[in-house]
Amino acid sequence: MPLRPKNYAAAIARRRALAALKRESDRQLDDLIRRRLALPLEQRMHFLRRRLPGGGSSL
Amino acid sequence: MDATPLLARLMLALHAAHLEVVLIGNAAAALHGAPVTTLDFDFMFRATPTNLRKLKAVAAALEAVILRPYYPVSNLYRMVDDATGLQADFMPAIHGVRSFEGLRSRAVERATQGAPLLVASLADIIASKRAAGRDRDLAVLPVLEKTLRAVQAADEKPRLPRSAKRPPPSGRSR
Repeated sequence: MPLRPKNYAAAIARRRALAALKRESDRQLDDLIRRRLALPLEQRMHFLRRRLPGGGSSL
Repeated sequence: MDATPLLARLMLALHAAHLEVVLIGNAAAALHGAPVTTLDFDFMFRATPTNLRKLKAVAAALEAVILRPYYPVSNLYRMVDDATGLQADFMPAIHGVRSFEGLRSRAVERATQGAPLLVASLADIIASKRAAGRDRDLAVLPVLEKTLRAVQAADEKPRLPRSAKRPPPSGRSR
């Protein structure tokens, strides 16, 4: 009788995939921040959202 | 949407009225380089009778209206102009910041289209959002903290290699 459940390998693979996804997401955010910091102030001004008549907002 | 025209118009009107304010919130964080967005501008100011008169004068100059606070204890003054989409909140007290003077002393000066602008330090913005503890504040905290670390890393002077730090030879010869 196996000591480990059948999907043990799948669970490990899923955990690794999620960890890699998190690392990638963090790296993308770091990259985005680095690119923002490299811009002069005048080009960091597109942060204002406007309200839409039916609700919600858009940039 | 580009905030430059709205912000410059608002700051020029505030400057003309000699009303001293410090930009806080997500708008200030975005000016520091944080990838965040916002619907309005948030400012801290001193709510003295004189400053409230100045605020009314600014609203009149911008053809905007000042709404009374939804929750009176918060003492929030909201300036709104539907025609231009302007919404600016003026607060005499914010979470995590003890005094206007302290916030102002740590703020950085920027200028947008010739309009002077005091922007709260990123550390103060983070402290304020952490102290406020609302879900929407806590949601942006990791992004702001990453930005602060990146700013601090960029501000650090490049370190000299260890060999460059060695004192020059004393000139003694055997």
